[in-house]
Amino acid sequence: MKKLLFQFTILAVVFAGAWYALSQLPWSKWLHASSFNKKRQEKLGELFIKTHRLDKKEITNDSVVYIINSLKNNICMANHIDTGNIKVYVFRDEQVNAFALPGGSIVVNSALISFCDSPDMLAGVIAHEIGHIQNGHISKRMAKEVGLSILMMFGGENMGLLKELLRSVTSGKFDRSQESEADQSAVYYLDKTNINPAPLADFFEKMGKTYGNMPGMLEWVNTHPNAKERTSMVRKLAKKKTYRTALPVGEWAYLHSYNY
Amino acid sequence: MLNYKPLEHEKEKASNGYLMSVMAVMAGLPLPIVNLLATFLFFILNRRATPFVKWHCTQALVSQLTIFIMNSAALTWTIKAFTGSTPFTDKYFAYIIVVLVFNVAEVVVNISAAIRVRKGATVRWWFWAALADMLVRKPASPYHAQ
Repeated sequence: MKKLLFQFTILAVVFAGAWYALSQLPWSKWLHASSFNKKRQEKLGELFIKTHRLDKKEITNDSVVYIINSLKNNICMANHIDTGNIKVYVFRDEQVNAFALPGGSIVVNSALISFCDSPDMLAGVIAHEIGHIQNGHISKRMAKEVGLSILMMFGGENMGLLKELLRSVTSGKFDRSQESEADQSAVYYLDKTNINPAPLADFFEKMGKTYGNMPGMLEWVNTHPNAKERTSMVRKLAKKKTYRTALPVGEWAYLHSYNY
Repeated sequence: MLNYKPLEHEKEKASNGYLMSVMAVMAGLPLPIVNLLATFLFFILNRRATPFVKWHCTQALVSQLTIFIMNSAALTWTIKAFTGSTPFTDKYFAYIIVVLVFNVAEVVVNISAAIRVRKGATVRWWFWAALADMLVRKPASPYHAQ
């Protein structure tokens, strides 16, 4: 047993020593690893959008794109987030949903815009998605997808696999702690932008009331913290002060009543 | 053990244990569990074999287990780095290089062991031989018989 332990120690020391010695060399600088990762994320996000376009129609109306982007830009600028890093796409989709993609893209479904009662509510959902991006939740979740490793390592742009991955990403399977973290970030971002965070709580309440008992929404309910829990947390964090409206009345009226 | 004279079929089976290990390392590089499963399967198939064959299969299996642990960590780290969950660091690249060296060494020593065992020679690896001695119960191990 002593011999075994001695030999194991020698082996472990050789392994750790070689690892330590090699890690003193600037490999990531030589291999330009930092820019590679960012580009890879962006490429993957673009690939998702391309695949999504095969199933859903993208809304390219200039006014809709402008209004949605101004909403996103206001939140980003007030929070010192590079506006160029986050792109927002609007798709015609009957599901009330918005989701963030690798590389910093956000997809907003047309049904979500119609579902929202006010521009502040929509701003809250966008701020929540920005929270996921800024907290690195997308990449953490992606790491869990074993399929992705195969996709990346073998370089194949297998459509079936990509669609499966896209389905997983769009289903909103963040864990509860990540959802809570994104909620907290959203409240912070909205407050900094001088937009009332309380309508985000109203959004959760409305979602819970409208879809809480629907079997199709069971997955959403399971992976998201309780709507009541989220509503009360956001309300608790929201400050009692006077805020400005997220969008001018005319712009919101256009966006909300647009024929998607 | 050093004086143990294995029979021809024993040498062949024990040698195949190492060849199986080589094949498993090559096949299992993308998914580490493959090489461990292949070697484990071979070990199970030979669990009722003679002590000589069993001991060599055990040595091949425990060395595979070490490689499996290293490769699994490398794969997990690679997935995390590729998905942006963790950055590509100097430590990561250094780890991958060390693991690659260990994998290549594993292939080389396995081929060498397969040839030498086929000729009836004694092959005892640093650490793994001692571990195999411990795992193969004394009455069954030809090495303990001495």
